Amino acid sequence: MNFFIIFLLGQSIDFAKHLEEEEDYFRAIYEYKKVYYSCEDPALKDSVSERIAYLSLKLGDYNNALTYIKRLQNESGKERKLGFVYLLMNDFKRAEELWKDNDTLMAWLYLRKGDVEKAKMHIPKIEFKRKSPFLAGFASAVVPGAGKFYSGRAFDGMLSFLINASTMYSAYRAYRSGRDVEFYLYSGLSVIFYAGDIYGSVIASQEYNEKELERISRGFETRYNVWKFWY
Amino acid sequence: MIYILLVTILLSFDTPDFSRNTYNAPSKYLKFSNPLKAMILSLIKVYQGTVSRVQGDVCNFIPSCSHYGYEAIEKKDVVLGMLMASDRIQRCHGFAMLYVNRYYSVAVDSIRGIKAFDPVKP
Repeated sequence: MNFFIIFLLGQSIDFAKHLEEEEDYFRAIYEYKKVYYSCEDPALKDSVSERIAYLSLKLGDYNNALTYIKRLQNESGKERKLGFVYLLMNDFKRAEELWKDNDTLMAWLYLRKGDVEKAKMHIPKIEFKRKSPFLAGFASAVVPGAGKFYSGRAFDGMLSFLINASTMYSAYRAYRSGRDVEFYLYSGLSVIFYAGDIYGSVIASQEYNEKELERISRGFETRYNVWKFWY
Repeated sequence: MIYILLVTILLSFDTPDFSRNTYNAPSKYLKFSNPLKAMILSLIKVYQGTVSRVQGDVCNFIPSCSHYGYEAIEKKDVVLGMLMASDRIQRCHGFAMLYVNRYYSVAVDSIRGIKAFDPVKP
């Protein structure tokens, strides 16, 4: 009877591994859970629990991952794994406490948090040039559209420049010709577009920083293979 | 002239045409707590009911610039809403699709296929 159960469990694990290879994580978790609740061996339970937690993280089911990590009886590496869960749950403080000794993981944590300076303290190679929202706004105030150029949106900048220049020039022409209504209309439009461009430049630079940080964080994850610390 | 304008305003209130957009349109009825806000929102409604209807589906974004402006002014108040709407109009050009996947996500439009999705952020 025991041999039969062991055979079935082995089959389930093999099938779960196969599903995992096929990236069918949901069904793989189901198979691993079958094994988890059928076996008595603590070592096997631990290894299955660890797989369930890892796959739950991949699926974005962080609470399930947390539950199964907490069930691990083997304490070695448990804290580091918990750190992964907390980081993905955006609980940076707890992850920071658990990863204190690991420079790579700490750098990754700070990158995800958006604190590049602290990330550089752990891995100095990280390069990130932040665009200043103030400078973007100021550039757009001096030359309409320049702030968007600065923030990496050349086409937006060009169109902003054209819109601002044409409304301002129309207002100027109306003023020179003494057409008051037209002058007020174009002046109003110019003010709205000018202010909108400055606002847009500030937002564009903030968005640039956000997206660039996200890109660097993702690059860091692959380059330093941070998930190797899971094992 | 005033009569035509009044009729147009009334018509645009009665039959707001949001059916062209898959995007969930902002509330149908105006709140008159702030006269300036109500005036600008009315102007946008008039635009949507007249010019926009004739012009057809030309905006590169979902929600369209007028819906975005309406929603921004309704949610963020007049000054910030106007700034956001003005910025959006300046971003609405033929090259906007180049920024899809970096700054905007993709939205599927029943008439024009793919558009850039850029809603009012909370």
